[in-house]
Amino acid sequence: MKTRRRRALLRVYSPSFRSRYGDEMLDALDAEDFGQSRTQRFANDIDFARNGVAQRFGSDVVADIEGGMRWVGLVALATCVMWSTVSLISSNQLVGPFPINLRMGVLWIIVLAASIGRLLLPRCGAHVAWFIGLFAVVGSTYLGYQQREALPSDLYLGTPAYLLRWQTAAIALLLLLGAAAPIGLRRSSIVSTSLGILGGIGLAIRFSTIGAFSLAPRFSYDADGYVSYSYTAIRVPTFANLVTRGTFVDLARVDLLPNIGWWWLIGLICLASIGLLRPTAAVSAVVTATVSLGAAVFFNGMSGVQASLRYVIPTIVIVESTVILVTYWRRQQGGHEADSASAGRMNANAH
Amino acid sequence: MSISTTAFWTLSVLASGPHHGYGILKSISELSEETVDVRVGALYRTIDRLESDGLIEVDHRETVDGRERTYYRLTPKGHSELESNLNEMQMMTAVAETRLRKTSFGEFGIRPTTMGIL
Repeated sequence: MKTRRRRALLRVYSPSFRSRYGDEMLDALDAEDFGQSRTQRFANDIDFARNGVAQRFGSDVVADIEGGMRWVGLVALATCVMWSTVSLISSNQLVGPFPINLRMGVLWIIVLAASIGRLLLPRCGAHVAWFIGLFAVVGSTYLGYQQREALPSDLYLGTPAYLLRWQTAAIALLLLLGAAAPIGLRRSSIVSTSLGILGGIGLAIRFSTIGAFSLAPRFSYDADGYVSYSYTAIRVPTFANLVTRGTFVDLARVDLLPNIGWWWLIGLICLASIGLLRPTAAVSAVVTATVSLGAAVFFNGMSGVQASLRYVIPTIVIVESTVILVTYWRRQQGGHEADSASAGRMNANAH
Repeated sequence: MSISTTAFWTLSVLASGPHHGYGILKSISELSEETVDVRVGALYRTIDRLESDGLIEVDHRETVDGRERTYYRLTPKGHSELESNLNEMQMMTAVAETRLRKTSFGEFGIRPTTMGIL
């Protein structure tokens, strides 16, 4: 039984390899499936695809991806638990026991520590950078969401919270872009750097036009203080709104060019987490970025549901990471495993 | 030239005669008493490498239940490669055994059974 799923997975292998061994491999997989549980068959499928990636791009690429994924998966899970807890116990102005500003300060310190770690431990630093980037973006998202409900004192332009928010996200972006570099200094560095330049240009355009396209908050007060706020269009860019209202400040706002930087960043995180910052996947990167942009425009038009939809892509990353993590652990527990990219080799350079 | 675990087992299986892909998979599992778990994708990658390196070649093809099977056999080059790896492994085993004995019996002058009692 050659299922459509396996036919699709077979496409991971190179065309010449597929034409030579494809049918036999599917037959062998069918034979291997006999008497196995659904979970085991699913594990076989993952392994089949994994070997396809190794066949096409090399075992070292698989090792890099798995190494990165382990970190990303672990930290994504930890971050989820942490932020869920925080959101449960926090008020509008406090995140846990800390004010939002202080939380951002802590985030800053972590990001800086990751930068130092990346310098001191290049290879490990790449993975650290990935998950710190993820952490920073989740943090920014959360705080962007918090901002919607926060009191005006936290929303005023030019406050440290604003500066930290977009600067943290920008640094996370740089970290993510730089993350590919220590992984062997291959051609992927050139691609990721090129993506970085494109991302930078995109952000610069977004940043420089934000004053023209953004909406600014207007706060209403009565005798007892703050009542509500609404948005008005900014016609003339000012230094304040150019500098202090960076791309990522607008997470929770409605803009004409909505959240381009945010979606770009999320796209890059996805690419980094699944190891697509590779020469052969440059097209995928562009497609993802384009889709992200389209999604941003589309979802932004759906007022009221956009905040929850923003979490779709991070959720996918987390689920994907979890699946790979669980698969990895199960395989580790399964004992000796031959021809693994990371284990079971008699000689890493063999054949 | 050292070869991977899967390549070593594949050559070992084919040393006894031609086998097809899935047959190699089953034989490896049996010969290794199920301690070596080779996946389908990994096996065919290995077959592809071994074939392109000239260590194995297609013996014949046959159709069973409408499915075509390709049987592979060891080439003379594959045979000598397997032998050379075997020699290398034996040498490594001998070295490890010698070192192990030296540590267990020579250096401390006591046998494991004695250590157990102590």
